[in-house]
Amino acid sequence: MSLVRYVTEPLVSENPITVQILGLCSALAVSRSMEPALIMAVSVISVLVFSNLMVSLLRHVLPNSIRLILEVTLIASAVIVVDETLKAYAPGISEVLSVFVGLIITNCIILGRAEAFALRHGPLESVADALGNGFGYAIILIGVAAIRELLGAGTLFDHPVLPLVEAGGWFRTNHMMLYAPSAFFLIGFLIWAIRSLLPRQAEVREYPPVRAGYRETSS
Amino acid sequence: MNTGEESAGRTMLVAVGVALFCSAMVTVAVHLLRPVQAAYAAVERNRAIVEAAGLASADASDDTVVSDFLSLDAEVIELGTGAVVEGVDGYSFDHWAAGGDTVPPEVPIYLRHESGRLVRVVLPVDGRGMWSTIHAYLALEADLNTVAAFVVYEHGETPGIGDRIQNPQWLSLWPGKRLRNAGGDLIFDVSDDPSVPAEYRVDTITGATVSSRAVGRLVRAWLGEDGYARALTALARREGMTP
Amino acid sequence: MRQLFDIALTAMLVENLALVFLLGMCTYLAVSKRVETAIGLGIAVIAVQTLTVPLNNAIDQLLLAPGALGWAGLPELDLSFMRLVTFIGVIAATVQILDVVLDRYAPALQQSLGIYLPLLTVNCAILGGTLFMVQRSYTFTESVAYGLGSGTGWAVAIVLFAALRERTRHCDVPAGLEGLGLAFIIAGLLAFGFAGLAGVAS
Repeated sequence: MSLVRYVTEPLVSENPITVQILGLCSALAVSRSMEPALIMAVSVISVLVFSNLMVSLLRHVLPNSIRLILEVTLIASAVIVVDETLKAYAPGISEVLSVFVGLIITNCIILGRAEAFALRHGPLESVADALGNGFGYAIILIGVAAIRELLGAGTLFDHPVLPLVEAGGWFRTNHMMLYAPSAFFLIGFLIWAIRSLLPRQAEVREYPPVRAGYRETSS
Repeated sequence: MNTGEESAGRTMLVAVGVALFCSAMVTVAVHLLRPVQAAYAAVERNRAIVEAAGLASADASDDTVVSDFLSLDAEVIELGTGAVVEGVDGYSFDHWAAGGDTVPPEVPIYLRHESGRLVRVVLPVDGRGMWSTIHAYLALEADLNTVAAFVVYEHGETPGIGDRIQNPQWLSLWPGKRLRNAGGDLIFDVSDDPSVPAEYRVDTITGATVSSRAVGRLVRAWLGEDGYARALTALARREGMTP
Repeated sequence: MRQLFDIALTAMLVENLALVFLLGMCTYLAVSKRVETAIGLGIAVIAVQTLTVPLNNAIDQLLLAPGALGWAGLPELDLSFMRLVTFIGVIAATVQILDVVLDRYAPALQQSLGIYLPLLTVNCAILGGTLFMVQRSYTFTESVAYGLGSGTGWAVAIVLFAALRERTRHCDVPAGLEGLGLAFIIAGLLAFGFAGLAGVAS
């Protein structure tokens, strides 16, 4: 595969969130508005690139017995640097994100890609893979945040977009979008849409569905 | 992936190498960034004070904030007597630095004068919220009995729930509320109790009742006898007003 | 005592790590197809959470918090930037030690929990519990109550969710919604249910 495909593949068809089910926590929890979501995406991408690069460079020397803990240490150090940087240059956002910056350590995308990809590929491919997966994550996170902020507050990046009823407009905010569970619905519907367009992603049914007609004849 | 021989020595060597690399990276980053964070924290604190004093808005530039802050009169007062402590720089005095839950004996207050007359006084208040210590500034009008503004400086309440105590809409309910009734009793509170007249009462936040009540409790505690009561009486006398 | 009970109950229901803060979602969605496996994972989370939150609390209070090194004559030293890497190290070590200890003394339990234990190192609910504990500056006993309560809350959430998913396994849903899509929507409904518990706090 060429480097370009490593970057484009995870955007939709191998998306870390909707296909690999990785890195959900932050995608759900910090997607209330665009600004924190964007900062979160940038943070995750930087940590992901760093960890994939380091693990790939060290892939021939990492001893198997302590491989995981070394990877986690590398990731945690990168997260500390990101956390301190945010505290210094974007303290407001850092406060909004609160513990979720630290939780990038346990964002499964990062350890997942290190284990599944960087351990077997060279640095260049690993960075490409990190960028691809990072952007795939960012698309979903920022997309969900855009919908939630637009419908929940009528704004994008805190700039008014839809005229609110309180200000004499026509748009009544949907308070459900301000609550975290709404992200579940949005991602659920998104997966539905993607799988309807790309049927090969759909899961194989474990059991044939019970049709209403069947139930009538059997009773 | 490494499939070759793994001796204990080599494992140790790699572990130490990675540990050294990580600690070097973290140390350098922290060393470079801590001063930036400290400077920012100082400006943010001044911003909260200046905002409470009604001078600059929340998005004013850092320079404006600092110069507005220096235009206030900062003095350190002794809570027990209400007297001004001489020889201490009120602009840099930080009674929160030590932490802890006890009321410190000396506290800085910030006065805004316009052409010689007191316009507003900004009082730092703090106390336990639902989870964390809330630090805030309460500004009073020159009558020392009317709330001019309430600004939350920092808190660690639950994101999305308790952090609504910073909601501008809720904070906009504060200005104009009165603290003591004609008899001099402190009846101001954050509650939904209709027996307290509306001009002495700020409604709680739906869904963040515990945190908003905590704010009311800490404001009451700081305005009482153990808090600013004596200092405010002394201030009124100094400024030549009858409280 | 009442306060400890309050902390545990609040952590379990009102501030449920899985359904209110949406932590540990990868495992939550991946290991919830069967109630049995969900119960196994739930027990593992309770055990690890109850161990790591107080352990990290002790380490934080004795070593890492600003001014914590006063007992060693170094009150000026602020090691709080070391928190993240220390906490994740403690969690990884606890998980491994628990695995070894269970293998030695309770092999049957290790057999049933074995596959889930390593997963918990990268479960955000575990690290999240520790980080919330630090943010709220709990005392040691409070942190025990919080660890137990939040772990139990996570376990309850995943067992409920697995039971709902088992019920929907035979349902006739549109092809694209089958499996993961439907799981997300069920989780959303469950989370809204838990959001309704917010009033219990006071």
